[in-house]
Amino acid sequence: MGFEVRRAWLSLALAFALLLAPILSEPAWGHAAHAPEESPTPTASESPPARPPLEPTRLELAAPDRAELGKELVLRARLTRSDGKPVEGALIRFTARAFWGINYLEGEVTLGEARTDPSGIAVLAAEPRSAGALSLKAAFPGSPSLAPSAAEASVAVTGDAQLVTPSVGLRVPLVGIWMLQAVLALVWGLYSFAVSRILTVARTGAALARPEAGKPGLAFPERREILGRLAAALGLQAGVAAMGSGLITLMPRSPRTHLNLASPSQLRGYRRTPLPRVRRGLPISPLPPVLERKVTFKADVEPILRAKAGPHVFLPKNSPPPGGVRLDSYEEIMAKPGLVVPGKPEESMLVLALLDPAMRMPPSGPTLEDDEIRIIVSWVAQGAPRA
Amino acid sequence: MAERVEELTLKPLEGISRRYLALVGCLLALVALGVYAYSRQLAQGLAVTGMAPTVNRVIWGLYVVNFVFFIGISHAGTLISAILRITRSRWRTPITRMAEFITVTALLVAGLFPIIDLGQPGRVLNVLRYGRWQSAILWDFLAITTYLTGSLLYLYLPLIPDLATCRDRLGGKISSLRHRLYRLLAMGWRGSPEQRRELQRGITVMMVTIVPVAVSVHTVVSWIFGMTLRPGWNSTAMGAYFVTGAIFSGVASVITVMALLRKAYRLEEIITPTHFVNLGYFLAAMGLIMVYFNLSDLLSAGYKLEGLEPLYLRQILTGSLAPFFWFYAFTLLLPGLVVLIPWTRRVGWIVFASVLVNIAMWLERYIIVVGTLRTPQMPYTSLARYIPTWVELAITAGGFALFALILAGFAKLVPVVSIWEVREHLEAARGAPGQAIAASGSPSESLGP
Repeated sequence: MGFEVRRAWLSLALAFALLLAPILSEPAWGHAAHAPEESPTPTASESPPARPPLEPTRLELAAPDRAELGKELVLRARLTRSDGKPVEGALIRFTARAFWGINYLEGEVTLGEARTDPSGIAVLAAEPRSAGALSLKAAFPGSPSLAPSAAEASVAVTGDAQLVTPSVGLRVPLVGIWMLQAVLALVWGLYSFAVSRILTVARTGAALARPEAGKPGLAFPERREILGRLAAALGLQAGVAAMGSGLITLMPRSPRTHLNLASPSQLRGYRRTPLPRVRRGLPISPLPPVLERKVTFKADVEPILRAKAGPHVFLPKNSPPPGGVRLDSYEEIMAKPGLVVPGKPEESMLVLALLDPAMRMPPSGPTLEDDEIRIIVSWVAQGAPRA
Repeated sequence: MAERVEELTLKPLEGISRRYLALVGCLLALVALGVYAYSRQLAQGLAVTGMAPTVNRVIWGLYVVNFVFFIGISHAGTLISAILRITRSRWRTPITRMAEFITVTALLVAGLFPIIDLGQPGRVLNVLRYGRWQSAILWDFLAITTYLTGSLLYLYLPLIPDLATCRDRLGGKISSLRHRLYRLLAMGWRGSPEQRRELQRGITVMMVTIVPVAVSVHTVVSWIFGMTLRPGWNSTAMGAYFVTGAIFSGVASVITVMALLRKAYRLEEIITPTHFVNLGYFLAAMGLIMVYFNLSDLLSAGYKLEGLEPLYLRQILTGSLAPFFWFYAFTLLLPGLVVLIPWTRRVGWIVFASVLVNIAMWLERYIIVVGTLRTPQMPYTSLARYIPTWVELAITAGGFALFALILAGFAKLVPVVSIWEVREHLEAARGAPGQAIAASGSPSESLGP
């Protein structure tokens, strides 16, 4: 074995030892063991101090059933004493339930605070920022003489308004995408030139091939070979030209991409991992038992979807629904192959998406209750009737 | 001597030894393991990786580390070979071919990893369908496609005369299919003055074009990180730093592969210690530039300690990633030490240093990708955890095996040394310098007879 090879082994071994050290001392990667790496912003914990018995209060929260995304939503909370008399001047805090990512963080977002008027009513105007079911809460933190109280309400938020208007940060005259295109065109043009040299080499090679003495022309195998070479060189040239122009034209198309996304032809071609393969590998939870009673789309399933299926029901205007799946009407659901297989919940993607712990739809927002999953499973098992 | 070069480089192409088959078998087994692991991931989703979002907040793991690593290695080739060709360094002739091999192979493997990183591989087409030029991902796609095409052309053009040599000398010793392949790819090369002129023009254009393209590729790869506001990534030096790192790891991988092929093909007469020492100097210089970049970056971030920087810096300097970082810091200086001290300025030591540099540069990419992603952006109480699962490790092993497998395939199909350039180099050295250049009428070197 050579000197350098021995060294190479030695260095490999050294590096593996180094690599393994932190992995083996696994807890060191974790949370608690690294005090110096701890974030400087620990989450605050609230613990209300113990109080003497207080007069109980009652809080009612009034909110409309439905609201439009981005439009004003007026919330009214009424605080009364146990004898029904209103409480004036109390500070009521309005919150909404919020989720970040896939169950990373779940908590309450403060919408605002308002004081009760002489009739005990606190009014807050909020603006819903996302479509779907919005869980609201109003809370009275209590006072030296009054006990705290809270009330909840739910609002179905619909609409697809674009709430954020992006603005152009910097505009420099003449600077634009055309520069990138020009650079690409230059580079691919030079490639094309280099490839055309190959074609010339092949052509010259063909001219150099002389027929044998006494024969009028080249024999067939030679001629075929020369043609093959020329075809290969031409193909190379065409390939480079096609790729180059394809890449250059990719860019002017891009500002319109959001319109492209919404077109049905694009949606039809939306690629997914083949469904049967997904199903086989899924470590899904067992199917819940099918309900005895008759379950229909209109009466049972649609309300659940409207409340929990988010962008699958309230379709975004500028992009396709997630995964190309629309759940906003019976026709759309049944039109998607594999989404609902009547009578076979174990083969229906709609059911699998609820039972698969890795997928666990919806990815954010309030999850489905067991009863709701059972209704959907029963509906599919009963043949997915419309009404 | 010219005949000896031909004999040495063509001999390995004639037959397949048992040891070669054993090597290919081992590599295929590793690739198969990677494919099996990937099939698990395809079936069960990214939940089988350590990046599962329900487990932690590290959304990029080993796959992106490997992607950046292989893109880095790919600079080996083309850039080194093009720079040496442009500067007409005559000693380069035996090593350019290997460098170009590494480029193409590394790019092919690198291109797989972003696709593996997708839960649904079909979604890679979304770059074409819905790509927006405002996104760094699209720039990456454009740059890598352009670079891969350019590298293939740049590998193929100087290969044509050697393919013709294979066609003429190996007839009868190899299968007729392979012979037909040589005949097709040699494009009817007869070495006529007109053909030589045309080929030289093609090579000249490509060697000049490929340098800015190569630089752009790694700059754009760095912008995937550098265009964000995250600690460790938010730096204007990112592009230049990545390009330097890529050349650094590229040179190291050329030295490593060169040593392996030299041993396997017994090319000691062609690839001499001078080649290793020269590349060793190059490696040492790049290492020192890396030291400069690291110092400059660490000092300006560590002096201001803005936002989450302290958390990030503590983790890499004294925290859980510190062993990786300090090992990496050591290997930046190692090549310099090796070529500085006379008794270590030898093939063995230089190869030793390059292997360590390769490993360290992989770890450095791990620090960049994982170190930053572990640093929380929201009020979490601690760093995120990321422990690669067996699926990721198996796919990584498979990727490296695939890299070696493609290289081994290349090395059996075409000469690993550019025969015509070495021949011409020898002729020029024998006493007619300048003649070849005058004959070709080009600013660069001319072709062989």
